[in-house]
Amino acid sequence: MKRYLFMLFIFTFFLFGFTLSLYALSADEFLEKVKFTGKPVAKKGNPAEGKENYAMFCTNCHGEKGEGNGPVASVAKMDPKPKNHTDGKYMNERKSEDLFKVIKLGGKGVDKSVYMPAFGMILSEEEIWNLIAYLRTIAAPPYSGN
Amino acid sequence: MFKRFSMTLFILILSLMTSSSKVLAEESPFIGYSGGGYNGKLMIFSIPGLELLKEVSIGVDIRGPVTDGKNLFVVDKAQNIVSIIDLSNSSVKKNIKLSDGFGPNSIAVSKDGKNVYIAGELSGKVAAVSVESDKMVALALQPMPSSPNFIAITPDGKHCLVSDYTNNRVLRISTSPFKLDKEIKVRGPYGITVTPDGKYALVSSKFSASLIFIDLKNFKIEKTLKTGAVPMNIVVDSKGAFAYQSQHASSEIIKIDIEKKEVAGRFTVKHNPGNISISPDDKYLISSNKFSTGIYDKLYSNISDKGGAVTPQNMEVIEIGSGKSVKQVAISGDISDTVILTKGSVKDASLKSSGQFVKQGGKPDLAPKEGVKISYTAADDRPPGTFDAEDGAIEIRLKALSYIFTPNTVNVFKGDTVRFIITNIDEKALFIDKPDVAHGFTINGFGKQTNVLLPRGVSAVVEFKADKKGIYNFYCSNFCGPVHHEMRGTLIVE
Repeated sequence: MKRYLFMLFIFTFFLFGFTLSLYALSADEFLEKVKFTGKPVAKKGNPAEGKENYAMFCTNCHGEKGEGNGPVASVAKMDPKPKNHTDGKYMNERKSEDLFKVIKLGGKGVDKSVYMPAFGMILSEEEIWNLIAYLRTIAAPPYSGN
Repeated sequence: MFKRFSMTLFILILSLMTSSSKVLAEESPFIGYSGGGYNGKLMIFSIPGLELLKEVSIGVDIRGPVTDGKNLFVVDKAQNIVSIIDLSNSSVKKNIKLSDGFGPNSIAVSKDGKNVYIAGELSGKVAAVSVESDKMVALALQPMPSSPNFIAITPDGKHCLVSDYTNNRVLRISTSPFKLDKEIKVRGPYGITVTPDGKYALVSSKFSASLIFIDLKNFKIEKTLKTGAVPMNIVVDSKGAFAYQSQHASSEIIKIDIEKKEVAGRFTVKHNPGNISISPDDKYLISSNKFSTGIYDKLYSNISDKGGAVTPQNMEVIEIGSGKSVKQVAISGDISDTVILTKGSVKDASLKSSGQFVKQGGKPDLAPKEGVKISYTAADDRPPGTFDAEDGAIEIRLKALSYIFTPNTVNVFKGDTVRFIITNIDEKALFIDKPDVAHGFTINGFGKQTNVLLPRGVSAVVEFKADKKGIYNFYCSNFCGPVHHEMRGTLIVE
C-alpha cells in the first residue's frame, strides 16, 4: 500500500506541475546571505550596505567569505589569485585610499591583477566606501584603523 | 484499497485532461506585444495561446513597448533610437534619434501620446521627447555615475518616476517644466509602477527583497513589504486592487493586496522571472522567465561547430484565479516588456498564425550585422587585456562573468581594426545557481557590429573597424541575473 501511495504522490506531483523549483531562494534566505553580522570598525562607510555589493560583485572571484577562493578563481586559472580579504596581515597594511583606488580604477590601473575590473563605472563613491567599510570588518587579525 | 487509488488516479488524470483541453480549445482573446531585446524585434503573439502572430524587425536591442492605445513606442538600447509602431498594421512609422551614447533602457508615454519619457541607463540621463517635433530635452543626473534604468509616469502626467541603481534612489521629475524635483533613497531599485489612482509608486528593492510603497503626495516611503528574493518588475491590475511582483531568485510571482499592503498569494514559475504583464481583464499574468534549465535545454543547436549551448528563455501564462500555469513556450530573444491588448481593439489584418517562437534545432535569433566578422573558437584561456595582434589588429581578450566584464575599460585609436575575443568564464550565476548562464555583448554606438551571445565553453570573436572617435558603453545584452544591468564597460576610441 505504501508503494501505491508513493506512486500516486509522484504521479500527481508530476501531472499538476507542482514540482519544487530546484533553484528557488526565499526572501529570508537571500537576506541571510547579504546580512551583515559583524561590528563596524572603519570611520567611513556603511559595512552593511557594503556587504550587499560584495555579495553581488566580489564573491565570484573572492569567495563568499572573502578568502580569495570564489568559484571562478580556480577555473579561470587567475594569476595572481584573487586577494584573500580576510588576511589581516596584508589587508590592514593597505591604506583605505589605496583600496578605494583599486576598486574604482581596477587592478590594471594600480598594477594589480588584470582580472579586477574598474567599479567606478557602476558604483558611486559612497558605495565604494561602503565596500571598504565591509572589507575592514572581515580581516583577521582585526583592523584597528589608519 | 488498490481500486480506490486507481479510481482517484483516473479522476485526477481526467480532470487534468479536461482542464488542458479547455485551455487549448479556448480562443485566445488577447494580443501581446513584446520587445525582443537582442533579436532586434517586436514580437506579437496570442494570449493565452502564446502562438506567434508576427515578428517586426526594428533594430538591434529593443526595449519596451508602451502604448497610448494607437501606437506602440519602443527604444533601441544599442542604437539610441525611439521607434513608433502603428498598431493598425504593426509597422514602424517613425524613428526618432536620441543623442549619441544615450543608452535608453525603458520608456513611458503620456496619455495623449504626444510625449515620451526615456531612462538613459548608459548615459545617466533622462529625456523628454516630443513625438511630433522630435525635440528632445535631457536631464543629466548628478552625481555621476548615475544609472536611470526604469521609468513610469503618474496618471495625471505631471511627474515621471525613475529608478537609479548606482545611487540607490528613486527620482521624481516634473514633466512641465522638465526638471528633477525630489529624490528618495531605495536600496537597489529596479522596476517601478504607479497605482491607477496615483496614490502610490511601487518600487522593487532588490537588496531588501521588498516592495516599497512610496506615498506620492508626500513623496515618502510608507511601507517596506518583504516579498521575495531579488524582486524585479511590478504590475498593477486594472482596478488598482492587487499588484504582482516578479521574484527573480525565488522563481515566483507575488500577489500583493495594495490596500492592506500585505502579501496575498504566490505563484511558482519556471524559472527566474523578469518582466511580467497582466491582461486587461485581470485574468492572465504573463511571465517572461529568464532561465529554462531542465525544460528547453536542447531546443537550440549549439551556437557554433565548436560548441556553445544556449537555452532559450521562456514565457509562461498564469491563470490568476486558479493560480495555475496554463501555457509555457520557449521564446527567442530577451523579452524586456509586454503590452497586452484585447483582440477586438486591434484592427490589424497582418496578424496571422506563424507557429512557434523557437524551432527545434534552430540557432538563437540575433539582430542582423553590418561590417563585422563574427566567429566562435574554443574557449580562450589566456589572461584578459589589450594586445597588439600579429596581423596589426588590436586584440581585446575580454572575460565575462556574473556580473562583470574584465577589462571593463578598453582604449583604441580611430582607424584601428578591433578584435574582441570574449569568453564567458562563469561557473554559475550567483544567487540563482544556474549552470547555463549565457551573457551577451553589445557596444552602444556599434550595435550593428557587436550584439553577440556568450555561452560557456566557447569564445566569441568579433572584429570591426573603430571608425569614429568617442566613448562608447558596452553592456551585457542577455539577461544573466540579479545585477545583470550593472554588467557594463567602456570602449574609448581616441
